[in-house]
Amino acid sequence: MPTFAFLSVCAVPFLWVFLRAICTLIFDKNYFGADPGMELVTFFGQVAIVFLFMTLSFSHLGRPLKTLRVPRMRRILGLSVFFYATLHFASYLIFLAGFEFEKYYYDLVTKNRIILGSFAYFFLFLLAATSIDSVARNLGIAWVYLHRSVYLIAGLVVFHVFLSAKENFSFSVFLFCGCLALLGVRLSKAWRRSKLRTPIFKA
Amino acid sequence: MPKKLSRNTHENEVTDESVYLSRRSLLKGFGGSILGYHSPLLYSDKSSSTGNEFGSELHQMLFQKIKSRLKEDAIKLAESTPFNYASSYNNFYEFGSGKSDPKKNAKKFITDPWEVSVQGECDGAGTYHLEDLVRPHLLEERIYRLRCVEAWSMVIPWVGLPLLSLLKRFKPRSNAKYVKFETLYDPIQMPGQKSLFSAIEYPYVEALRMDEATNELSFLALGMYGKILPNQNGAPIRLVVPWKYGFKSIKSIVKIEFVEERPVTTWMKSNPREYGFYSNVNPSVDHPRWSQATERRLPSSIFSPNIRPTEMFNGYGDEVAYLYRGMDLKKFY
Repeated sequence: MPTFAFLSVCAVPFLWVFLRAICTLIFDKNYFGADPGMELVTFFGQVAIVFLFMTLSFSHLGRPLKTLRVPRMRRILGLSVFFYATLHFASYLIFLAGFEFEKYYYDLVTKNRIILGSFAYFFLFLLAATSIDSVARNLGIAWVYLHRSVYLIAGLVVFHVFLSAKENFSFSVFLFCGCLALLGVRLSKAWRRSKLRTPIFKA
Repeated sequence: MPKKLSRNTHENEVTDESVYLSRRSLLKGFGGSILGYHSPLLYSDKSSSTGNEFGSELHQMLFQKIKSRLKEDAIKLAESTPFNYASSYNNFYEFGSGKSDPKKNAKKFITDPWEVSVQGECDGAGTYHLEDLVRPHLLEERIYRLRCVEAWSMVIPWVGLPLLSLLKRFKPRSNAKYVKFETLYDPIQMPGQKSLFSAIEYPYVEALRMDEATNELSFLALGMYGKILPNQNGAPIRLVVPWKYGFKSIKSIVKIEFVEERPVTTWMKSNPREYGFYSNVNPSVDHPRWSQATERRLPSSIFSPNIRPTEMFNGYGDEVAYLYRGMDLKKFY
C-alpha cells in the first residue's frame, strides 16, 4: 500500500499533463498555452531534474523517509527520473524536432546542449536497464560502480541546463551548487567510512 | 495598404484568425468572408450585398450550405481567444523573463503622458509628446509575420504608421547612417530592469541601418488587432521590422537617435556570438544553440505541433533582399 501511494505521488506530474491532454481532446480547448511543445519539454525536463536531485539526496534524507516504509524507494525515484527524462526527450523529438530524426541527428552533431543531454539520457537508460534485481546480482560490484555514474549524469544535466538558458543563469548556478553540495556530502561520508575501516592504532 | 505588401500574408493566417475573422464576418455577413477569403479586400463591403439575388435554386442552396459551414467554424474557432495568445505570450524582459510575465507585470505601466526624445544628426531634434508625433499621420493596418529568435512565430495585425514617414519629419542629415532606439528605463515600473541574475544591460537599445529604417516594411505600431497596443506588447509605441527576429522590434520607445557609427545593441552586447547587429531571419544561419530552419507557428496544440519551414527574410525577401546585396549573411548575422 505505501508503495502504491508513493508511486502515485511520483506519477502526479505526468497525470497532470495527461489530464490536460484528455481535456484538450474532450473540450477542444488548449490547456497548454500558446506554445505547448516548449512548455512540455521544459516541464518534463524540470520534473526529471527534481527527481534526480531527490534520488541523489535520498541517502541523506534516509531517516524521515524510512518511516514511510516503502521498499526499494530509491529505485522508484531513480526510475521516475528515467521516466520523465524519456518524456522530456520524446517531447523534444516530437515538438521541437518535428519527429524528423535527421533534425535530431543534425542537432546532435552541432549543438552542445543536445550532445550533453543525449549523453545524460544514455547513461540514465543504462542505469534503468540494470535496475532489475537479477541484473544487479549478476553484475555484482560492477553494478555499484555503474550506478555511481548518476553523479556524472547530474553534472551533464547541469551543463545541459546552463547551455539552454538564454540570459538568466540563476537556475543552472543553483543546480550546480546543489550538485557540488551533494557530491561533497557523499565524498566526505565515503572518506569517513574508509577511515573507520582502516584501523589507525594497531595492537 | 499597398497590395504588394500583403502578397504573402493572407488575412486568414492571422494568429488571431478566429476572433478577428469571425468578428468581421459576423458583422458583415458570412457571404463577405466567403468571397473575400483570400483577398486583401476582405474589409470592403462590396461583397456583402450578394445575399439575396441568386439566379438558381442550386446556387441558393450552395450558398446556404457554405454559409452554415463557415458559421460553424467561426463559432468553433471563436471559442478560443487568440488575441490572448499574442498579448499573453511574448518576451519583454523589462517585465520579467517568462513568457507570461509581461502581461502580469505590465498591468500598471503608465504610458500617458509619453514623450519621445529625438536626438543626433537631424534638424528636427527635440522632445515630442507622443500625441504630437502621431496626430498628422493616417494610421494603417499591416498584417505581419513575427518570427522570434527562439524559433516560434505568430501573425499579428498591427496598426500604426510607416517608420519612414515619421523619420522624414525629423529631417535627418546626410551623415546619419543609423537610427538608434531606446526603451524606457524605469526600474520602479519595470521590475525586470533590476533583476540580479539577468545578463542584459538596460535601457534596451536597438538600431537599424538608415536604409533598413526607411524601407517601406519598417513600421511603428501603436495598436494591434484594432485595439490600442497592450502594455505588455510595447505600449504606447513600438517598432515592427518583420524580416528580422522579434527582438529587433524594440518596445516602448522613448528615444530616437540618428548616429554615424553603428551602435552596439542590447542582445549583441549581452552575447555577440549568438546575436548579431542585423539579425535577419535566415533559416541557413543557426543560432549556436538551436537550428533556425523551422519554426513553431503559434498557437499550436499538443496534437499538432504546427512546425513549418522558416523562410529567408521571414518571407519578405522581395521587399528587403536588395538591402543586403553583396553581403555575406553568414558573417553579418
